[in-house]
Amino acid sequence: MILRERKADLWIGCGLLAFCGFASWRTTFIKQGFNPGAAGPSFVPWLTIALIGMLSLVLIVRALRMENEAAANIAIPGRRVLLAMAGFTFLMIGYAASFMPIGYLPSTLATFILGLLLLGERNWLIIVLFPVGMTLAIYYGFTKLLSVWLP
Amino acid sequence: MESIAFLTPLFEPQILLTIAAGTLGGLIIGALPGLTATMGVALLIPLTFGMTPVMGLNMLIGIYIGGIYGGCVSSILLRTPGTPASAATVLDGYPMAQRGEAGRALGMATIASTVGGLIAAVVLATLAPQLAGIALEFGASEYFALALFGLTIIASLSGDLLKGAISGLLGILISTVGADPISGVLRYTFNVQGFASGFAFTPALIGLFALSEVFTQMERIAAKEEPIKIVSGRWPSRSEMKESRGALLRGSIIGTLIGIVPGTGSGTASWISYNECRRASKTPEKFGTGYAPGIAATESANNAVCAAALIPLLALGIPGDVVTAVLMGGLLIQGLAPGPMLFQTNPDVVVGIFGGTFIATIFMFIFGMALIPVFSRILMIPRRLLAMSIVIFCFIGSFAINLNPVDLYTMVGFGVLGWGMQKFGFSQAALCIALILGPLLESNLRRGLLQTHDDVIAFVSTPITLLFLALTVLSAGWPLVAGALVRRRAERNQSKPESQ
Amino acid sequence: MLKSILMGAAFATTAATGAFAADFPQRPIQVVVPYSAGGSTDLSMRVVAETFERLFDGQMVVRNQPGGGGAIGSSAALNARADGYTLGAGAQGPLVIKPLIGGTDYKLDDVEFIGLYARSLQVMVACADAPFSDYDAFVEYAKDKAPQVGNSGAGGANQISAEAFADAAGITIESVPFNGSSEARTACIGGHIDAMVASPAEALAASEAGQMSPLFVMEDERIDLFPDTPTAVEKGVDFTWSSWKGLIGPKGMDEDTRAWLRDAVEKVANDEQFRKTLTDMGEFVVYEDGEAFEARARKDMETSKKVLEKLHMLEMNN
Repeated sequence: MILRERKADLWIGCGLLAFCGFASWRTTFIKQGFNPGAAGPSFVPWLTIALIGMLSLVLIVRALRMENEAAANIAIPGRRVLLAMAGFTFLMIGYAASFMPIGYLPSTLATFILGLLLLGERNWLIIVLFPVGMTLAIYYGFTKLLSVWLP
Repeated sequence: MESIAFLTPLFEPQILLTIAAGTLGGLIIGALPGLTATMGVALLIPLTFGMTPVMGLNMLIGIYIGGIYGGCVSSILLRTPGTPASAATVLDGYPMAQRGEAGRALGMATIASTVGGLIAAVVLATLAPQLAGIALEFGASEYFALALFGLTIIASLSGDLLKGAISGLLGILISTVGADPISGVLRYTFNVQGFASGFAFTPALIGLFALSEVFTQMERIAAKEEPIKIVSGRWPSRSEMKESRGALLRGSIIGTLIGIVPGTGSGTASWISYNECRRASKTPEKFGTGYAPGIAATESANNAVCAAALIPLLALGIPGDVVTAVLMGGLLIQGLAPGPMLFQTNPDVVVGIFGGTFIATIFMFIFGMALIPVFSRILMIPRRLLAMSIVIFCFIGSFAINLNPVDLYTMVGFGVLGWGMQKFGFSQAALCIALILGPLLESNLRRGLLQTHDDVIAFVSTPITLLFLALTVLSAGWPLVAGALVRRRAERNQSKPESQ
Repeated sequence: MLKSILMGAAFATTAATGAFAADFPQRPIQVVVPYSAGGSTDLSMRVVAETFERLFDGQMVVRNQPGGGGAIGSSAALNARADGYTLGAGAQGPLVIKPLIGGTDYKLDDVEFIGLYARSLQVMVACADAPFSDYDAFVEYAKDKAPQVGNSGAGGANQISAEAFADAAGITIESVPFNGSSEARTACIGGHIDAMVASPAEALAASEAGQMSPLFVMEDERIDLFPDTPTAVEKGVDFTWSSWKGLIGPKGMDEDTRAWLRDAVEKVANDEQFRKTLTDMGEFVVYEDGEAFEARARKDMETSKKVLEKLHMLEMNN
């Protein structure tokens, strides 16, 4: 799948503007605290939001004026790969969520195996043995050698 | 010379062995993505309780030096910086490895780290009291100007200036999440207590560079691209060494100077050094394409910081960065108060540390060179297994730093962001630099205005500040001017066909 | 052999507290330190852990959970299962001050105080190039112009103690927050601020080197390290302040476990070698039991509340 950079920039510029709107809204929630000076806690946030907003407009204008060039195309992976990547992202969010409650060993083992399947590994021996070995090795290395606490 | 006598105990086998063990341990910790040198030093402090001061401190210094060096290994081979200090090494190290020159890239990094470390160690041993004064000159306005100057790297680093600037600004905005440094007001935390300190820097960096690379690997696996499995020899060619000579020297000096300024650290030093070496180079366009001097610039700078950060610690009792702050804890636990008096009360310890820095750097060179073939074997691991192993290391490393489960989400979020940025031409490096320098910029601007009661003129009118501000204008202005010139020339060439 | 001696020692101590506690601890006790490794809270807790393992048959593991000025780690300790296996390093900032500012999911009432083993005394010092170098000159100067006093972080213990003193002495100061005490010290030695609150150990080393000069000690009486430095009390200002280091845990532990732990802290704090190591590190080793510890924390809270109110920081982040 091929995406034109011009079109992509247009969308990103709009997305950034929307983000600036959201950030501005949240910035109004920042309390001013006890601050005698002119530059309070929301000084730098406002400054950066304003600058990002301005530059996003420039990006949009530039995209509108840009001509289509073959060299400026961005290759987006196909639908199947994108789906796999989305699945991978969810897998990692799931891993992050389950890390504390169910502990390192089961969550890591499950993530490792699912991850390998998502990456397209089909040799079941590898799918089982490598994660077990790696998970245990990391566990040993961190808890015993470096005495890092793992849940 | 009396001080020579203090050096002899260093050559006792027991002490040498401790330094060697510390350096090797640090090297491995640094090489693993997600485990930083700071963590290594902090975790192993308890081991030094029972040791003599010289032995314990030198072990910690060994871990520090080894750890900062070790970070380059995963930067070069896997595009995942092992420590924040090596993030800039990715720029040239990874492309070199992709060309099948992983061995040479690692060799260059090892040589650069050694040169940087030795030069800074010489400075430490000879000029510590004289140079330490620099550390005292830096107040709020000087730090602010330094941070501003550092941010101009973004202008020359990103191919697309507009997108680079947006990335940098986003980084600054992201770095404001959490408690405000001056008033303590919470910003954008959405009442999640885990974000009270904002997005943790190291997990964000791990996500930005390492996890995003896993996504890229997924694409490559799907596209059935063959991975690079060629590893060259470990010694850089004669011409590469010749080209890198300037970068080595410049990187070492920049690293030493920045190391002396407290609170900046090796991450800042390596980016600034990279930028300056590129600017000074006759072939700046080669930087970022797998060019050995690029590695020389960053790795000499970050290892120079290690020894240089000890200068304010020993001479003034001021830690130069996070790791030396931990080292200072190590000194205190030995009942030694670092500061100018240490030179008089415990010259044996001071000289012992000077000597230990040299010895650890030499061990680092030996181990580094010897282990290059071993490290390079990582590339032989099947890609799927490697990708998944990196994911797990990213998680454990992000977690182990603060044991804060929220950091895991930070890491994943930045991973997705990093992939998207890379895909659409937004510079990850720009975001990374802004994350490092944003807090330095904001807190010192605000602190300075607080101290001068909003008198902007008083705030900027100190010599060092003015110098850095002038440098900022110069280095931010130059790419703009150069870009405009190129564009005008291009337009002039184009204008004829267009008018028809 | 060594193990059996240790076992014997453990039995002896448990016998003293009662046979019921003989089955505690069965696995390692974790202590959450809400700061990064290498700081004074962390180092002193590591010495506690080492002493604990020497005195008792058990393991004590230090777990660093920094962030949020200590709030994240303190929250983890206070919200842990109350079985005595997850405890916390009690620090003034996160336990007393942070809940008043807001944004924490715990309050001082949620804290089970086990025992205090050291106090960190505080000295106000004048920085390099400051226009004053003793107490009288400092107060005199502060009458015309507010001196800039550095602290280790907004809403941290340092800022509260400096402001509380100013309040008690009837002067005004300008607080300049830094990111950690070492940054504040750097600015102080470099002469970028006028004064700061320091620990006696760092103040001593720096004043011997001429980098700082001690102004006054925040104690009732003069201390051994600074025999020539007055206290605020003897200058007629009713003000004392010290930070503290102790062991805390979540509320709701069973009675026997709590008693065992309290006893353990007492034994550790009175151990000769422990006292020596900690004193060398610049701590003022003193044992206070749970009740005294809690009373101290509550008194600090009252002082902090007043100061925070004045600074408009009370419940700022709620």
